[in-house]
Amino acid sequence: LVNESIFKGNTVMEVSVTPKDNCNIVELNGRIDSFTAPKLSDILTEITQKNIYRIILDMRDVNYVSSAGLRVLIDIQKTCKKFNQGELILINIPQRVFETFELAGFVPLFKFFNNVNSAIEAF
Amino acid sequence: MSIQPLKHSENQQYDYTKLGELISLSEKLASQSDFVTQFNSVINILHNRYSCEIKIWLSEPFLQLVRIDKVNLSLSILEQLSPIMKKASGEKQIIPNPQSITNETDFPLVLATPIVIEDEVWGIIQVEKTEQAGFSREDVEFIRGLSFLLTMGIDQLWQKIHNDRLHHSIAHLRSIVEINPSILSNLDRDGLLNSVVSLLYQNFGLPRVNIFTTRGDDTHTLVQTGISGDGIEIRLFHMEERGSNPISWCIEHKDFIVINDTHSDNPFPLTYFERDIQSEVVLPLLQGEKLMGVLELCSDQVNIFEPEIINNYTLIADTIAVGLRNANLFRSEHLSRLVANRLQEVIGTLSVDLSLDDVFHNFLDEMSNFIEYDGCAIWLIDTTANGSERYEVSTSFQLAAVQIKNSISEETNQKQPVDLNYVLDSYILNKDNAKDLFLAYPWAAEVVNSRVSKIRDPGSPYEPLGALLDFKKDYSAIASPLLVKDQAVGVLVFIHHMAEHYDNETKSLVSIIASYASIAIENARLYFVAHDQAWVSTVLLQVAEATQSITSIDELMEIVVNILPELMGVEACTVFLWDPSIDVFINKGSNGLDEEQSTRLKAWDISSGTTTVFEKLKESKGPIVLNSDTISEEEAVNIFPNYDFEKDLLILFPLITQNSLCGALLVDFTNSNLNINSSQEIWDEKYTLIQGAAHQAAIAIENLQLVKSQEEEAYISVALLQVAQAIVSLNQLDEILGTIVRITPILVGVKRCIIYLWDEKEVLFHQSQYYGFSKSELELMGQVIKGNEFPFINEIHQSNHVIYHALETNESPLAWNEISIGEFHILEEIKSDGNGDLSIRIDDHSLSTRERILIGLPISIKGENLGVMLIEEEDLIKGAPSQHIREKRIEIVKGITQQAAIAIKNELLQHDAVKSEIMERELQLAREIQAAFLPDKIPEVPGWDFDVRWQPARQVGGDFYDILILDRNKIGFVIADVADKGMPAALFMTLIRTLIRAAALEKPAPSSVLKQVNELLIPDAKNGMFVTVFYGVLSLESGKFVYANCGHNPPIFKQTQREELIELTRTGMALGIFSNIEIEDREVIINPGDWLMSYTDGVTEAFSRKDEMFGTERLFNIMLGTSFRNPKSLLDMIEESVLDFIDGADLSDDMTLVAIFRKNQ
Repeated sequence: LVNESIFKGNTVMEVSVTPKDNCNIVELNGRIDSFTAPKLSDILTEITQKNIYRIILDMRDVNYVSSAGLRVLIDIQKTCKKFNQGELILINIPQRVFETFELAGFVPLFKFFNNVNSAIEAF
Repeated sequence: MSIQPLKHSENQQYDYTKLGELISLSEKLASQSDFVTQFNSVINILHNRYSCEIKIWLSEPFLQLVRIDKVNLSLSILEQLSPIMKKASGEKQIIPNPQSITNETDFPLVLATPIVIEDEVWGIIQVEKTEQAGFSREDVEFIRGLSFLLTMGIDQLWQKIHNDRLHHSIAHLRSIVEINPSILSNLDRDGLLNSVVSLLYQNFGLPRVNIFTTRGDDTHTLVQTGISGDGIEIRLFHMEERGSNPISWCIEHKDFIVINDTHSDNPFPLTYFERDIQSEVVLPLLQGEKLMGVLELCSDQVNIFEPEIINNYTLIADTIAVGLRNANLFRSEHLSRLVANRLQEVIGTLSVDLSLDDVFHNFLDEMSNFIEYDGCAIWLIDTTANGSERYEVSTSFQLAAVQIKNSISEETNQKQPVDLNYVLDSYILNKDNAKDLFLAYPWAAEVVNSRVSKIRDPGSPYEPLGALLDFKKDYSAIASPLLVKDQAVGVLVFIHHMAEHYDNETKSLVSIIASYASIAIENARLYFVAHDQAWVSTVLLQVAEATQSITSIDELMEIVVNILPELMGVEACTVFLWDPSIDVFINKGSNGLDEEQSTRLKAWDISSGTTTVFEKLKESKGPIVLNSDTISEEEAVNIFPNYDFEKDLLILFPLITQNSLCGALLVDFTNSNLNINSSQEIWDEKYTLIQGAAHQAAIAIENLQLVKSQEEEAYISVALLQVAQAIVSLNQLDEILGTIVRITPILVGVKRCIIYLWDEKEVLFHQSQYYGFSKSELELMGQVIKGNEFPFINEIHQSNHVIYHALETNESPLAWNEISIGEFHILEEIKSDGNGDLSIRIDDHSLSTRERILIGLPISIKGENLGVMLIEEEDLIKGAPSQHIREKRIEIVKGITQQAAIAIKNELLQHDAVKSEIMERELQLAREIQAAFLPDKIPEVPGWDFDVRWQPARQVGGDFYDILILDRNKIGFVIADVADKGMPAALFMTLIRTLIRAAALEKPAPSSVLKQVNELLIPDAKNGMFVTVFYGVLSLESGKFVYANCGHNPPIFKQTQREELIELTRTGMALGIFSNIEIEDREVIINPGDWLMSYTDGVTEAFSRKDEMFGTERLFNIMLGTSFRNPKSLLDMIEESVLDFIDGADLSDDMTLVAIFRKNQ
């Protein structure tokens, strides 16, 4: 279990990682912007480096994703899908954040669900 | 294929002669490098041209740039703004607006123009016509132009100052990194101070640098080492009233103080400061809580000591404090060692042929090498005159030895010359004179009474020598009592004609001398008593000879117990050594006893409070007879089963030197010619003999311990010096720390040593250098460690304490991280260690009883914890581990960690400086690249009006726009955002721009252009990098606009015919992720009166201070409004609205806007 939080000015992001059934559930809280994105990238890369490619990202408490944040998710998705070993699935994504994905045309790159179980079934 | 720029319709009526004038003026101004001159000429032009009254208000930072006293003009400086100025400040533009001036009746008499840089008002100039008619529209435009020129001048100057500061700060840091090692390597205190002041003076161009060092605990009189244009000077500095000058303030508060302008911003009387000193900073030199002195830096300019520079100086101050501590340590150890050596030699000369007085004389002679004096003397209580009451002050003193410097008459401040020979003769030869003198000048007698060494206060009564030599009342003197067996037998006095010449360091040196003098007295007494009986002297001589060449205490003990029974005709004896640190007596050997009895004695547990006879010995420091009063029944049974204390005589003699107990000798008188019924005479004889032998043994022990401790003390200095040298000679932190972990075991004999560095950013420890671990151990222990994974080091780091844990005999370092909170103990709180002395707190006996312990020390400087050092220590001395050695060892390692901390801090500072310099350069370059690739002008086309805004964030995002002239009828518009920052974003942007330009020339359809760009981009887009692009082609005649939107924020289309806004949403995915993506083209017709506004997410994702996002809603509302008449005013509104929204916060991303407006025909 990893718990991290970073703060800078009004930028806050908290991350916790919980292993479950062959996959890792990553719960995020706060903003994924150009300041917090590198940290998120580190945490997710640490997971894929352990050869865990099934990752569920719980975005219930994420209120903003900047283009830097999108970039991290795309990068990790590419890694996860590389050898058909798994993928990054997003759950509980708030509408406003979903619009960011929609805007850039990234919705087709990810599966979106409303709960963990559906996500696990989808692997 | 270019379109000629058209004249802007609004400017058509403008008087171009004035424009020309403005341009030539701007050329003229630009050629003047001095800002004040620029400022002056603008004011002059205004004044001459309009013969007007000029009022000016300047903001604080501007005032600092322009010294108003240098602006020599007919203008008045305002504190308060006039209403029109307030308006100009609020609207950030010239009031009245030239647009509103249409005919002569509107010509204003007063106008106000703000000086605005980066949306901040730096000043406002008000111009008021006094005679003629008001300002025409041209005049207003002209004045606006002038103020704009002024603005550019300020901006340039400000940038330059800022840049200079940055460079200054970096250069400053570099110098510090260079200076620090040379401070640490200097162990000579005076040399250290001289070199520090010289280094600071040379490196920082300060006209005066002073270091004031305290003497012991005295913070009233400091030694000032200073340097200025006149060279280095050293003098005494007397503190006046507390808080009356910056030095005393600093000493009182133990904090730094900055005076940035001695004339205007200074709470102290100006008389304190030397002429020409405009600003100064005083920093405390702190070793823990203890003030070692202060560093005073003075400058002849105001406002030199910026906050970031102060930080650098603080680091220097810390380094000086450590250097001073090392030098002090070295100096005092060095001195006491020398003194001890010399005095031992002198005492050794004592013999039948050499009287005690002669020895004393040599003593004082010898001391002139160590202590500066005009005169010194040893006074002894005359025992012959007054029998047993020999330590009463009323008893007579005789002058045993005196030394007076010959040169004294010429250079001292005597009131009148004294005939020295006469003085000496009359007092030394005539004992009554001496006695009277001693009683008449009672200061030395007070010292004898109080039994502690003392420095004379300037106002105290005279002591005999000073009075005899007729010194002025404020002369200096030190006196130390001579004590034998806790009884005062005399006093040693040094005097010097200068006031406050002696400090605590000298005092402790004099105490050492006094204790040696006491030994000499005691030796002499014993010697002369013993001399009467030849056989006694033989014993003593034998003991003395036997003990002289011995180097280990165990060996010494063996000799003592072997010699004594034989020489004294006693059956048996055994010797005990006392370890005061743990208050335990340890049996060190026996003679004449059977195996069984020896074993019993060895097993005797004589720790504090358990054994009556030893408690009595400690208390009385005299011989104790073993009997039922002093030996418990249990002890009698267990230890002495073969003795009957009714008959057998056993006496425990103390081994005493310099009034302190160092051991005990138990002598068995059974079957000797001495027994309980012996006559007093026999008893006395025997007793004296054994007492003498015991004394000799004690002196030998003392000498041995002295040699040992001298070796240790010298060791500390050498160890710290070696580490300091390592830091000086190596550049890389890894090398320095590597040397430290390798030197430490060699110097202090620890088994393992490892350093963990604290990473503040990542919140974890990194394994750094190590000694005594195998590769696999290191790997298993972890290269990177989070606090909760290793409670032991985490505790050191959090608490800043030295802590230890007693290890099991074969405990592997792999188990160290399992040591939990309850299992370790605080050894020492670094904070409480103010004076550099070790204040060990023992929670647990394991420190002295366990053979192996793990000690953890924080590596910290100024409360900033930089890492942790662990040492595993195995006591190499067999038998009972000595706490004393552990304490010394920890003290050395502590010194080492302090030096390591400085090395790490240096490295971090240097690293930060280099990094920020590189980053600053990179950002600047990125900004330049970005700006260079943006179109430098906007095409002017009949029937259309375009405008753009581009505002890069400090970090430089990857925004860009481009306007491509495709043919006579077609213009391409690009707005894009690269998902990255800084240099990579700038470079990626130039790539995409080039790709789009190349593709746009080949392919007419925007979708095909972007598809081609995407394919070409993919090989270069790493790590999920992508770019959102909106590209549209406008046909100028028809107004047809064909576009493709690859994941970019949808541009907003506003038509006159419709009420609602239309978003030109995505027609494809962002570029750079997948090849062969689908992109479509869409089109809209832009009719006259229609607007198209495209933007990047820097606009909608701007955050307010309350953490709200600007969002599309606010943008829509602006677009829905009708108050803007052209693209410029629309974009002004949006920009202003965003900046209002973020309210001074930094833009987190670039902000780019492109607006297209088709004019009504």
